[in-house]
Amino acid sequence: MSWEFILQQLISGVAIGMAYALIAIGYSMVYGILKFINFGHGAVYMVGTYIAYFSWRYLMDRLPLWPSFGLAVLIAVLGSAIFGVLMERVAYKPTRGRSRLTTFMSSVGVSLIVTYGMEFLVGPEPRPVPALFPGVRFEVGGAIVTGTQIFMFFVALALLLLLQWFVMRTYIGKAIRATSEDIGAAYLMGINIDVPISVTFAIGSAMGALAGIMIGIYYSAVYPTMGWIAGIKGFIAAVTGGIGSIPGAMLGGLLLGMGENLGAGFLTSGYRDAIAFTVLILVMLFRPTGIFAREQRSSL
Amino acid sequence: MSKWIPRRVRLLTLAFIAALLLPLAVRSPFALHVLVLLGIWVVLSESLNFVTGFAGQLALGHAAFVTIGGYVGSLLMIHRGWSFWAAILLGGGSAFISGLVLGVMALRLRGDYLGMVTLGFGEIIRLLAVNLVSITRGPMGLPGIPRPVIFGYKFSGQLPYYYLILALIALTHISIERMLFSRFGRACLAIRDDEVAAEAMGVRSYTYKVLAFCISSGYAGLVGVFYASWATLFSPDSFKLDDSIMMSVMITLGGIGSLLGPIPGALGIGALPELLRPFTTGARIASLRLAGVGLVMVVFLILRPQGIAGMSTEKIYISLDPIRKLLIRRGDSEPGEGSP
Repeated sequence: MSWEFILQQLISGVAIGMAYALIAIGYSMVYGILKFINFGHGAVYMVGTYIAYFSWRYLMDRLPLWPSFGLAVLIAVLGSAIFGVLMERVAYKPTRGRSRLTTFMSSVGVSLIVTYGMEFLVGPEPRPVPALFPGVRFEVGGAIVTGTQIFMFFVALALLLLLQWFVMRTYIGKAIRATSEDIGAAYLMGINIDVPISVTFAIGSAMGALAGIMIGIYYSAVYPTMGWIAGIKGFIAAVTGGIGSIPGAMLGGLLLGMGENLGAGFLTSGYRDAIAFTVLILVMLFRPTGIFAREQRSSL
Repeated sequence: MSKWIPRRVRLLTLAFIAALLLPLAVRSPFALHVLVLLGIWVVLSESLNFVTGFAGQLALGHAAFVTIGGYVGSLLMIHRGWSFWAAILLGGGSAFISGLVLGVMALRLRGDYLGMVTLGFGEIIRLLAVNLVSITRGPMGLPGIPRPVIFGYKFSGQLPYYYLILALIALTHISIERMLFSRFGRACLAIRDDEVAAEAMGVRSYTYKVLAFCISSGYAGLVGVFYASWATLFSPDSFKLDDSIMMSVMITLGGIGSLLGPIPGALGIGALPELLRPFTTGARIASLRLAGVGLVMVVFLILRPQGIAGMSTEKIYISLDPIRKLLIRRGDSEPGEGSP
């Protein structure tokens, strides 16, 4: 087991971990505001990726590489944001005020409808995704860094910083934080709680779509059931870093990405997902508020 | 005399007698095959209903216990030459023990977190079954599982399996009903309705939750061995995440926490692929079925949370004013916490 190998695994882990962090945002913010795990998030991630895929394939013949990609990403971000908001209105809002397990089960149902509805429409086989940086690669200390990995890291970092600014510094961000703190009090203070809830779903879904596009390019494949595992990993990243926190989502994503890449390197790659689930069970057992949480609240 | 027998019991006895006589009318092996499969779903959803419906603990990893039971039973029958009857007991026992291990760890968590951890456990078990090739033969599965022999009669065709699954349904239903009306069952119901109040009354909620969880897993293990012997093949894909979710849809449809609910729920959802067959073909049936199952789940949760047969404590709270609704869902003693 050489150092180059470990470094290589860590580099891949950081790139994929930043994508997990973007998925984790969707869980973290929704959990913060509505206190339930939105199992349908993985399905939104998949839908966003497919929107980007089909619009990119359509635009590619008409525009140069980068403008067509940018436009496709924009369409996917808008499309998945609308999709996320609609999902909340149709399937989650009617269950408000009931046990949050009802909402959770409803989100499991949404995830089935969307995932298998898509599989019915486009077929289960994976579709190849064109490369964004063909042949761009650098050597760092004996390990290879690809252009896609650098792109993923910096775009995700910029998005997370932008989101942190949005939540902490803008008016609507303040409303989101107030609603997270106490939804009843926010309602009494005159906040139309539907607005922060919808904005939260829109942001989470858009971030999910961006993560899906990154992972689609990284593994150069999209398929309808891609949202299952990716969604669960995003959730694991969110709870590892402490659910409800944006820096926590990033740290959790990085930790999960590096952990599973190293683990898969030492064992066999077949155990990659099993490592992630083991992380989930261990975090839940020993630090249910996340490993970076300052105080232990028994809010679970 | 009949006055003292509850209506539920009379209904079930009639249904059971009808099921016993059904093979007189249904002779095609394919129809019997579908009936055995429906029977498997009935046992699985009844067992899941025990932990989710009565003890109020959301479990999304039930397929893992079927897989554990199935592999343990099959390996004993193939390599050690055990009889089916000994293997099914040990398969159930091993699922019970695994349920105990997971339950002791996971049942300190509440609600949807428990759901995610059990789901993760289910995936770990599936990945182990796929990757431990030297024991499980990986994705190829274990072929050639011997058929059961009883009093010198070797099972062949669908009919004996049909009666065996009927016996398993009867065993599951009667034992669950007896447990429900015991001290243990009442404790489970109390925990589901209000864990804090139950604790205050001296119910050791953690112990009872773990016990309910591993008993429920034990039934799943029995089904695993039955399935392995019936299909003569057991693979990591025999029971997976989709099937765990399917079982929770079955109990949602039937009415979570209702004694009879899992039966119509399992029959309805289990028969869905057969009902869809005229409209589409091939692999698309599987996609359409799962999407349809999701739709049933969402529609029922929103419009009829008590299911076909169930009664719900939730409907009392639905009519409350909006602010109170918001406050209730934030409070610690949420109404119906644990009974989705």
